[in-house]
Amino acid sequence: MDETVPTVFVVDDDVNVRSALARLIRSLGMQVQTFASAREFLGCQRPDGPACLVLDVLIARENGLLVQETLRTTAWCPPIVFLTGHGTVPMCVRAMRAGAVDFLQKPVDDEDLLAAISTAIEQDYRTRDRQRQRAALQQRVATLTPREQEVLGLVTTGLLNKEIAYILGTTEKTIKAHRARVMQKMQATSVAELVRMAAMVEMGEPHTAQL
Amino acid sequence: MPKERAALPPHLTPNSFWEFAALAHEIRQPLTAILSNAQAAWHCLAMDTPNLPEARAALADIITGARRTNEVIRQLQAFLTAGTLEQTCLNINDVIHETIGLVRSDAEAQHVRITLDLTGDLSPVAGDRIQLRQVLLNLVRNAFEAMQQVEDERRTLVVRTTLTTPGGIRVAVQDSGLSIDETSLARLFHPFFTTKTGGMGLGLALSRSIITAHGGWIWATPHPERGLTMSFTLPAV
Repeated sequence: MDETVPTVFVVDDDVNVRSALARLIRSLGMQVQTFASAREFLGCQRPDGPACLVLDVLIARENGLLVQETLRTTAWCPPIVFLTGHGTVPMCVRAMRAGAVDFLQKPVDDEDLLAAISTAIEQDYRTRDRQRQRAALQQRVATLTPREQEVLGLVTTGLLNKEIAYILGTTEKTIKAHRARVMQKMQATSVAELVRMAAMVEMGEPHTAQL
Repeated sequence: MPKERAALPPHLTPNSFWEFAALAHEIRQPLTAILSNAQAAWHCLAMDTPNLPEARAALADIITGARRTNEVIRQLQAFLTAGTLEQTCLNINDVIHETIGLVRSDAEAQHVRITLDLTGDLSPVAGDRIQLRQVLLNLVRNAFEAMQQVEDERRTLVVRTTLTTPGGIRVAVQDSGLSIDETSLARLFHPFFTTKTGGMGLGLALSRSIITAHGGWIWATPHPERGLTMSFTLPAV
């Protein structure tokens, strides 16, 4: 569980809009950080708790959609809620296809904004949760010996002990022992769970998996 | 042709789509700030222990936002009505002196040296005094802003009047500010184009409308080293 309060990042080049949105979001019980440009935002630290980004689609001399693309290639990509003063339908379609949570028209109503932010925060929470689980599993995998890792790989492909023993040129009894150690180290209670764990470890970056 | 269309000011061009999109943006920005501040104030007051300082700050910003919206509309109104002239017979040198009088204290505060190079025997022109003063004010204020980035001792503004053939006049406002790039130069007179953070981009578009309505031309000449000269012509009476 994330103990920390969610953080909402607001990027808008208009100082009055920026501070008004920040005040509104604060009054809804979340913490806010504001930035005048995407460049400033890209340089900021990832917060401990879940977060999302409220981004004007046409900030001066920058294009919010390009920012979205840049973010997707970086390690940390919070879910994005777009705001627009004069957005077009193709722009909206492009943003949504690229994984935006919502595309809201300015001036935005607090209920719509809160709904979009909640969805985004929830999405980030799930992503972070998956990342944490994955990191924990990777730590467990790291405790396996090279031989045990081989056995894990073969078990998850659905082979029987006898077949694995044949492939690795050893006895079924040895494989049984390896397999028991793998289950124990991975803290798996069944082969099905072990397979699910292995799949999670091999899964790509969670944000690309979402798209 | 329907009457409404005939009444459209001549400087409103059909490529107005982008202009109106930009205008919508200009009005939506302060409206966004107003709405968000109002809703924030509402939430602040609805708390078990109302957050009065935050609500008060939100209200102060709402007032600013409403004034800002009105300013956008006021500028737009000036832009839309620029086509109607109240012409009198005037000497442009007098209008230049009036304008410089208005900006004298700004010039001193910003360490700008003003040189007037005015031709004495100019022919009178038919013009709207207030609107021509508005054009000159726009040009001079833009020049001041362009020179903010250069060293104090190099801030010079020259206002020059010359006779043109046949019998018209030319006014040039030359600054020693930073040079301007090609792209900006091409869009200088477009409505809602601005390089300033606080600007709405109507000053030069408005100036162009006024000068065109007077039967003159307005253009910009960049200098290779630094600075820009804004010139306009007015025909003889």
